[in-house]
Amino acid sequence: MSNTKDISRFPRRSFLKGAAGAAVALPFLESAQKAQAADMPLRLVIYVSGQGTLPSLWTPPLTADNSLQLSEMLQPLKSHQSKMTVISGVSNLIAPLHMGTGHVCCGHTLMNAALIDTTRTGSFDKNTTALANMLCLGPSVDHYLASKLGGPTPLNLAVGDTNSGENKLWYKVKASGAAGANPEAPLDNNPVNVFKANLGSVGTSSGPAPVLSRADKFRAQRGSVLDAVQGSFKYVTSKVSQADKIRLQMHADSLRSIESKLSYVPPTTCKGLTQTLPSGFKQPTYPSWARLDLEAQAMMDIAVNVLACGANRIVTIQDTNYDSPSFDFLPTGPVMGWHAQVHNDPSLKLGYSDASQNPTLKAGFQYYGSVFSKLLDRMDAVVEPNGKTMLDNSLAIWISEFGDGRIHSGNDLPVVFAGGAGGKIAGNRHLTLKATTGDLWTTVLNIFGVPATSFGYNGAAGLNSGPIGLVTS
Amino acid sequence: MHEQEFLPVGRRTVRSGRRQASNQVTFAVSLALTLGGVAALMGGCQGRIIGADQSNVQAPGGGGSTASGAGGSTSNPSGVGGSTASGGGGSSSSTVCANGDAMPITVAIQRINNTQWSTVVGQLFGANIATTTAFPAPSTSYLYSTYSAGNPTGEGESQAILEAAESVALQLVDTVPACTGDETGCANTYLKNLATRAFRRAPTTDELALVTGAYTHARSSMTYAESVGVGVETILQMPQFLYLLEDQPATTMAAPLALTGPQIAQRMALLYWNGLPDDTLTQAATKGDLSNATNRLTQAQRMLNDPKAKPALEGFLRQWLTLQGFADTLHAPDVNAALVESLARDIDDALDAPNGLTALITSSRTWVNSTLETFYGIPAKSTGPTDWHTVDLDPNQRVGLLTNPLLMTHDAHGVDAQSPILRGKFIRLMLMCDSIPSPPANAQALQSTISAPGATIREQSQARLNSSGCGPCHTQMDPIGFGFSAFDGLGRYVPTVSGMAVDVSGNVVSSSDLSGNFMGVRELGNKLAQSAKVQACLATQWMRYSFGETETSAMNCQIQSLASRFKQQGYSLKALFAQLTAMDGFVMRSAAAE
Repeated sequence: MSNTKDISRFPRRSFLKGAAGAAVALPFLESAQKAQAADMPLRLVIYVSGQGTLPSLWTPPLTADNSLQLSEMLQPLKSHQSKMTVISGVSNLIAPLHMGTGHVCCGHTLMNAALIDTTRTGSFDKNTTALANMLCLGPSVDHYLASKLGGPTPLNLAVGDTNSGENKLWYKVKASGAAGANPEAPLDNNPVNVFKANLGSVGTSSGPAPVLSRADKFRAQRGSVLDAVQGSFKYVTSKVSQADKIRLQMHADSLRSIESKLSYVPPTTCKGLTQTLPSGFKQPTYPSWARLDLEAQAMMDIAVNVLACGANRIVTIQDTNYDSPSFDFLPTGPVMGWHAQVHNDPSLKLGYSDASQNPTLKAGFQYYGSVFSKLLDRMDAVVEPNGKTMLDNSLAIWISEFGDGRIHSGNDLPVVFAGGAGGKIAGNRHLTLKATTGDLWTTVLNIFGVPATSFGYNGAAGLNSGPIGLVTS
Repeated sequence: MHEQEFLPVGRRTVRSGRRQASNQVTFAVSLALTLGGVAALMGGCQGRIIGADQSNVQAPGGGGSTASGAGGSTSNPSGVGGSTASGGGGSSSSTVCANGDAMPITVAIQRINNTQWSTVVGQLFGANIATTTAFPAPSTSYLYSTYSAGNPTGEGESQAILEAAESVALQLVDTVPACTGDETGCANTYLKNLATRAFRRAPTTDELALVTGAYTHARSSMTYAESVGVGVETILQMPQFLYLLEDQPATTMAAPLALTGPQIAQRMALLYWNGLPDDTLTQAATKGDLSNATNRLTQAQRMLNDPKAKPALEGFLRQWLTLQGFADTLHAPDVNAALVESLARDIDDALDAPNGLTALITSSRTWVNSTLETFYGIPAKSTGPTDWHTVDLDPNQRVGLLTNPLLMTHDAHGVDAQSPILRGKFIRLMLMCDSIPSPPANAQALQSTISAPGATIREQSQARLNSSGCGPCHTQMDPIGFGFSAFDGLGRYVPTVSGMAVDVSGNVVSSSDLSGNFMGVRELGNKLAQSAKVQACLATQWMRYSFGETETSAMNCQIQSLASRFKQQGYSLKALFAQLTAMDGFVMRSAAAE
């Protein structure tokens, strides 16, 4: 049980340290901030977990008003229900046209809705394995969007191996005139390196240099001030009575509570940040993929700080270990043969008539939900100068390459849109649609103000119906 | 309007939770021993009177009964006024005090309130620093703004304090002296000096390190002056600054502890000035002079004669007389403003009067300007709103602050809706230090069952008094309030209606020297001013204000001692205020019982 503790609570202020070396890092702002600011840039975070889900336990019930009732698999996201739209009925219809295996066809095409070659469509054929693992034409939606927004190349982070195998999701935008497919965007799974590369120089030459009012700067010091004030209670030198001790303790508790609600200010200054990795973190390496939960935390910390400091507007986090995660940190772990269990492989003699009866699968798939929830926690803890949280100002997506992983189905993918996208999406909704991944990414582009009527391959009927209708706030 | 009569009449409750529970247990025991209390236990409105009466073991004295027949129940858990030392009127006492003067005091930790915050910030940083950002105001559920329980430090208050401290820091950034050399050294010096004043003692190395740590952290992203401001903001939120910290023994079994010199000085400064010790007081504290009662008295007298004492003393008296912090929407704004100014002047006079208590509650002299001349209907002599002079009003019209129009309005529901309940309750609670339970939940419904529609205020009262359910409590209030019947809701004197004299006959149900009938507020005021019970009550009120809580029976002797000193000083208000510090127990602390 103790292993699960690390992901159970988000230590809001612990993941980065300030240059001064104090236990406080980024400047903070209390949630009731009324700072005036221009609209914050819309940002995108995509979290991808592998092997789909347990559809019967995932799909929320239909409601007359499309309000969201959380299903069992969505329970970890309960605290964010008001800022979530669950989208049912999104299918990857490119997959059947892809020539890869059951995994490759769904994985490779997920984020780009593209084929390996527009002249080659059709089912996987063992005799044409040379084609089976070819990259898609791409680009993936994140890179395409970045190219349209004019920002830096998206940050593609991995939890687990950087070789995502059959789930190669991310593709750069091919340089104009370059031959061949779009190059795969490399994944990085080393938080230390990622931090250095993306936040090490923020606020110096390459990072933003925002100008904040004096009041904002003072507000940004609240965490530090409260730390000092709390520290001073132990030096109350008079001999206080027991009743007074209780009162002082309550005061200190109040300060702690206030501090826990503080959020760090986006770029007051991100200069000179230092990194604090989750306690117990060790860089996972092949073949031991222990404590991927800690790596996920480290990556989420980076992602949110990258977005907060303006170092990038688009970050993706892919849990690449769809095959053999041990889930050693879960009460049900360590898990043997995850992939086979997903398929409810008879040779395992698990005895479940349906995979959804398997508690290991439930726990594992719910874990992915808890990771996404922690990501949302972090985003919602950041109050930005327009008075909204980063989550309000952003779009966070959780998706998997499969709907029902047991049968390699690219239909009915589990899709969650979270965050207000700057007021463009209302929460607490469950939409039941008939749409494609192309439609989904077209929708994302439009949310970001990039006009598009389709995305990816549209050479067959039914692949593109345009943006899906989200309920706007 | 009669329904409003049954609204909870106490704009402030008399006692705080923990103490209240304790006292009521005490009372229940004594009540059971009190013959007269038997009747009071009957009915929905149990006649519990808790407070500074003259006796708690005798059956009620004469004059107690009205038609309800249940008026006499009394009790005296606090035991105030029972000794002969407190003056006449008392017949016996349940508490024998060998040396109340030297008995240590138990006090719950007090946080500075918003008034003290403003004063202290002004002293630390100059008057140009605005303190309008809301430092948490005391809860109005408690008698005085100094009450420990009324100034909690929960999350809401802590957040407000944070914002208030930040506001101060923001304002003073531009006044932080530039540093030409070693910035860290400059900042340390500035912050250490400030902390020494703010904490009322030198900060320890550890404490200072926390402050300078906050400065250092800020300095990585803020200017020098701004970073010093962050250090200041830290100091202003530290418990060493916010609380009146005093040495106390850990348990009730442990020997009392004496306060240190700085601890004595900080208490006196906050009490008399709402602020910080000045150099003279600090020096006396440093030298150890303040452990001597005579020295303390000398300092107290010096401080009380300093103009800095005026706001605190006025604040206490206005809170005692419930003339502070209420919205007077009945008077025209100019009249209200003039009445407030007049009140301050009247209080000033009483503070300097040899017998301040008598002056305060009986004097027919008051300050008027042109606005108030019109209001009182007296000949014009003032040339305008800023031209003030004193005038002797009709002695039946002006009975000190008892008939102050602001008070009459405070204790009314409207211009034509004076409230004998509220007016009687004020006397009972604030001048007699008794306590009356809250009305039962069905009080309003009950009224409609006992009096006919259209009944006059007096008829409604009479119906309550005749009711077995209401009578026991209302006997303690309404008959006193009757004496104020010639004052309307604006405090205007209306002695006759349609040519008929208004009935101003009243009655005080009490086993004290106040017991008996009276005719009008003039007679009531004179009785009150002469009453040992009232005199002791004022000493009690000052103790409550000073130590920030309603006394327990454990404080009987100290209060008696103070009351005795008050008497010896001829009921001078400033003497009362000063004498508290001259008590040996003022600087001794015992542990609160848990």
